Amino acid sequence: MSRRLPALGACWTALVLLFMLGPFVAVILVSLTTRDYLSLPDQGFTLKWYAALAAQPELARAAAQSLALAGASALAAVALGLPAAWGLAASRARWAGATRTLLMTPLFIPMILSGLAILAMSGAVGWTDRASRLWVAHVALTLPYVVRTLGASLAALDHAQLRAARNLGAAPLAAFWHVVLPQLRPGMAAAFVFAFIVSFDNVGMSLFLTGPGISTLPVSLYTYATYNNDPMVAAASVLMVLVSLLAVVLIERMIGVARLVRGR
Amino acid sequence: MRRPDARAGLVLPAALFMGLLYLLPVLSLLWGSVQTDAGLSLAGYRQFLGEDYAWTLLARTVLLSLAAVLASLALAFPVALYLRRLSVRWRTVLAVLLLSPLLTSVVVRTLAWVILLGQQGVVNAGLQALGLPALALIYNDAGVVIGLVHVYFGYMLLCLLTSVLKVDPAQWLAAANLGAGPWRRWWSVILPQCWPGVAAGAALVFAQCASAYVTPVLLGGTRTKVLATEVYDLAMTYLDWHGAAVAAVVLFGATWLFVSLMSLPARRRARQPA
Repeated sequence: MSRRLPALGACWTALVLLFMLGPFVAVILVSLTTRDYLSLPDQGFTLKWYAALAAQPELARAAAQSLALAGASALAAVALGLPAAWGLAASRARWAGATRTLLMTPLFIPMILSGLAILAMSGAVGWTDRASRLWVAHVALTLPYVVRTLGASLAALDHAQLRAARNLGAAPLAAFWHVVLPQLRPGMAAAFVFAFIVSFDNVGMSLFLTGPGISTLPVSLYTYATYNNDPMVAAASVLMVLVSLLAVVLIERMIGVARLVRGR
Repeated sequence: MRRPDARAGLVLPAALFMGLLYLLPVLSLLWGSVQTDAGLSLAGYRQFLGEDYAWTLLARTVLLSLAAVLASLALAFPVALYLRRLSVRWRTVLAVLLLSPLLTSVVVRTLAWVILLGQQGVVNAGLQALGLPALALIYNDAGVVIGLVHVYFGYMLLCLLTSVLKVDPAQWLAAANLGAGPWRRWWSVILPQCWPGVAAGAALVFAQCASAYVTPVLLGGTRTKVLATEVYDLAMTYLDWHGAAVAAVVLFGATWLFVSLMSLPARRRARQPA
């Protein structure tokens, strides 16, 4: 009985793996179909749905806007998050605890409430520029991930080096620049990629803040898919999966997903 | 560098940004939901919760989320226990494969299930090829739960894995030496030690499922309405901001209630001397 259990666990894990990854394989296959509706390619393969995607102005424009938004949001989140994480590092002061909680709030509040709140507030104060509104919302959304990722990197920092630099007469900023920043580079890159992908994937907040003139790829894809049923939906999905895959590889390279599962 | 004012200055830009541009709008939405033209009033809530429809939506939201929590728990627990036995290297490979879907958009993953479960979808095409009758897997609650489990499974696995890896191997071996079978060991040794992970995973998955919008719409169709879809419809279709705020706060309240229920046993244990 006890000896059969690991085999059972392996089978179960294989089934769960199939459940988690199978859908992506199906989407890739469906994006290559020659038929005009969502179906497996039973009469050979074609890339025509990818070509159709590039020729579809709304989705192509939304894709470009999504990439720009994700890049701008991640940059701003790292610019705000790096000094914040450094200021909060190892501080046990009461204000630090409260600030840490404040910076994490977007993780605890339903996205749909956040999106609605930002839309209502900006409407009330006459802030109608959709692009900047969306950007601010995405910076707030990604900041918790940046602060958390950088906080973990700072916790692993070699403080003896910093003390040595300070004892040798380095000014605080110089010590930060020459000692802390080089050690922090992988963490910063990981935080940027994390923020980028969280923004790029987001739909819950964006749904409220997009509109004529500005959209994101997930929102446009969602809107397109509610009215259309052609394999272009699958082709766009595959492209989004590729962006996510790139993020997984980058994060794994920089800080290692292994850190999460190494145990004690 | 030890002066607190210097450190506070570094944190200030981020704190101001979050406070003014995020928390303030959220708080003003909460505040606005208890306001009417005549001043402070719970009339919005009385009106919203006075209708049977709201309770139907609330019940459906809670039931769908609970179903997704239980299903992802049932899927993830054996996987976490299996990963515990593997070498760090294999554990990492499998964890990356199982968790990386978390980094793809909810829209993409839900559309994948639309493609798989649709009336002419991949699953039904397969069933037909085998001469079996087609199943109604989409535009009903089953489709929504399948989609929700796929989207939020990773959070459950992450929480369980963290606590399963902390289980004291000595206790496990002691239980085995004293003759406890695998189920008994799971029940008496693993489960009590993993309860924080179970509770955290359940709270996280429940909160995400309860406020999910895209998955219920695309996989549930127009018949499966939930609170999140009602919030969106009220705000964006009917332009009823006050009603939308009230519905959003009810949704938040239900989530918060579940999350606090899940953290109760952990808190009680923390108060007991070890």
